[in-house]
Amino acid sequence: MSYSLNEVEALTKKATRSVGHPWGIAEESAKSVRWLCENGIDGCAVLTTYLKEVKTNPADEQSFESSDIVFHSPSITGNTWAAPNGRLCPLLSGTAVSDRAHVFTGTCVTLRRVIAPYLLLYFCTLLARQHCSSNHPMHIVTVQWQGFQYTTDGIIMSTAGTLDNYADEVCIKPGVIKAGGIIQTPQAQYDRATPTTYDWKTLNTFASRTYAPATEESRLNGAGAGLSDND
Amino acid sequence: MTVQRREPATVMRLKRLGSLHQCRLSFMRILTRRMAREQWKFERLDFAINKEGCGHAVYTAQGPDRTYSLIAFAHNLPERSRSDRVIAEAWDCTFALFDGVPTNDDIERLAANVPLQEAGRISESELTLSRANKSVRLWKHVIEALSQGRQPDVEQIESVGYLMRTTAVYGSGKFGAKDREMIANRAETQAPFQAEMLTVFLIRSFVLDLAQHCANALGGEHTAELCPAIARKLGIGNSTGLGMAPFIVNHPVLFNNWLMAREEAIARVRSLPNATHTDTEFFLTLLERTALLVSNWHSKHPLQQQKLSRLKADMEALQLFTLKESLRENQPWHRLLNWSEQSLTEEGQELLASLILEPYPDLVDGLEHCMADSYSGSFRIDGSMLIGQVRKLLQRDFEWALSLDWSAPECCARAWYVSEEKQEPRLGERFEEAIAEYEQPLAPARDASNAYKALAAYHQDQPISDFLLAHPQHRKSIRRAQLTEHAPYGEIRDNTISSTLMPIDMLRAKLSFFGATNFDPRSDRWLRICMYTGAPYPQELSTSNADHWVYPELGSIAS
Repeated sequence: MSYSLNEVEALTKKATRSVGHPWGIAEESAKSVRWLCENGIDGCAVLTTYLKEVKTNPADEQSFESSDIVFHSPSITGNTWAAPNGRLCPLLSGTAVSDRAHVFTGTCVTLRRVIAPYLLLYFCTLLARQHCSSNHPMHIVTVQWQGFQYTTDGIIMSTAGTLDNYADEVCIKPGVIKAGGIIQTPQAQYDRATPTTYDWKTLNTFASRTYAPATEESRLNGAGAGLSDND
Repeated sequence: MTVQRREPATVMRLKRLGSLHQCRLSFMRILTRRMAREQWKFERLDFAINKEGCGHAVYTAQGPDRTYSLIAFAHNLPERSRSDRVIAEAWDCTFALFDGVPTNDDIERLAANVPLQEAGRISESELTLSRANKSVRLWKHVIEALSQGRQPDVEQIESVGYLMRTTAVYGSGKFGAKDREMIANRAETQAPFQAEMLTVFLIRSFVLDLAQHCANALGGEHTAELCPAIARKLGIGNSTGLGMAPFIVNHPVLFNNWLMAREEAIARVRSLPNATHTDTEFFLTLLERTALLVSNWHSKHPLQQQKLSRLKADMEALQLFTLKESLRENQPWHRLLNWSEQSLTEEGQELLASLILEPYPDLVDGLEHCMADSYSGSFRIDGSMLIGQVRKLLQRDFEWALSLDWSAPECCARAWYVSEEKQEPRLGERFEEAIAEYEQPLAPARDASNAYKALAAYHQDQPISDFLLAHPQHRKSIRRAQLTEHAPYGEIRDNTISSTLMPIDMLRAKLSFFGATNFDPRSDRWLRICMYTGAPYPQELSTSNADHWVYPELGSIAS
């Protein structure tokens, strides 16, 4: 079955929130998944992998506030980013990549032990877009990990390699387009997403943790009872 | 002297937003004007409804480039199952707006899904999904009267206003429909909610046919045809609940664009040095017609009743003022609005602010192209922005909120959450129900205040990226502050989780831009409205009746 991209965005925002991410990160996670789907990559599968990695049982009741997601946040030392206490979150580091466009120079920034690295690509695309729009000398961004390479100028992109759930080392490198070096075989664009039934169901299970359990009080007051609605 | 747009600090208060009225820029009027201008063709392609009023029908609307089709399903709904609430599971009629002309296979596919509404699936061939319930009392009266060869009682028609009311019109990718982004570049759907407004326009036509069909089935050859002038008085009702409130918070740039377009229109008209005799006369005629509109506006809600009785007093004061004062020279509209700000309630002020736009299509109507938000998807936080600048942005919209004690129970009494059973937004009592953990981010003022406090620990010359890395919980507020940097009307200047919040104010703000009338709150969190009351039906639509139908004709059938 195919889903609209707005459905993908709405569901993945809630699913991301369910593992303890603040709403601001959840929103950009959803944009990242949507963008992957637009580019023909199964973003729902990527996010499902990620969410299962940071929370093994989606049915677990756990308060957002006690989330240990913070341990996957990047600690930046020079050009090396790593999570102090575990594997690196592609959302917390991806948003930081996009935010820090102004400090990215021509050298490679290395991200260590990244979960679901595909989620980084959207943020690296924003980085390239920023560099293009601000007359920055660097016009493309290359993202590499073992067996995979992604190149973008912020508008078009090309990928080579296979879908990985994990990368030991990701290198993000802004650079100039070399003579004749336009991006080869850009990705086709899609306006629908076709996740697997399993991934869609799993994302729904994650998302449902953001819904308040129904109570009679809520049914009556939460939506407003008031006067008769059948007259 | 050029008059500036009104200050966001004045416009964006909830009490005022809850008093907004339709205007030339309302989405229904944008649609009817366009369809008349472009001479759209309308056809009833299929009407396979049996004597019991069950079956399906197809109505097409053909514009210069594309055709859209309403597919309507009529059901036999047991009395006990009828509810407008989102928790309902069956409806009198269900609808989809198809992008093109449906094949039999499409109709078969939709027949298996559309009646299920949220529990079904539609596809990228559909633009909207909707449903409607009968107004039991008026439906019964109209069918009975017609079947007995009589016209229905106009007073009863005016007191209800519609034969059916929709309880949701879902668009933009919901339940599998085509995304808004896919139609945003079409001329006819560039302005907001045009597919939804077209759906309701065609539903109104179907409902009229269905009523006549049911009356014919009952009365046979003795049945009367509903008189066209009475038919015009029938709009389509709509029951609207809390689902709409989060929309205006979640789309600050879009909401800004609506408000800014209207404020710009008001400022342009206020700036006019003079008004011609024709313009003034036109305004005064519409003022009279508005008085009729106000007198037909009924509500059982004490708060709205109070607002209405004051509005009626406002109308009298306004008519007196226009008798005494010339509206020809010395910036007449500016003088009039200045007077209203001192003399009328917010209901009256906003009604008048909308009304002065009417004589000036050339100044106003072009602004309809500025009401969409075309760039929402691609926004990126500028991490290089200095913290001092971010603080200024937060101060601009939330100065009033920074000094509030957000931990005080009255300031954060409520929390917005999504219910498990229907995944719909609800509003609860934070200190009485176990909902805080599920809170939706719908209190931008509180969140901005908290971000502002946390920023105090940082130097103003540091880039915001440093702050965001350490405080991802404030990311949403910072993103919002940057997103609305050029959207001064993007933020509501009131507390959306206060113990005194009236959610219907948020609903009305949105509905007024649709062009709704007869706001009738049924509690503090849901209301009924009318759409297309007085509008021409598809076959009657022309450039002479496409625009001012919202104002009842003077001397039309007396009630």
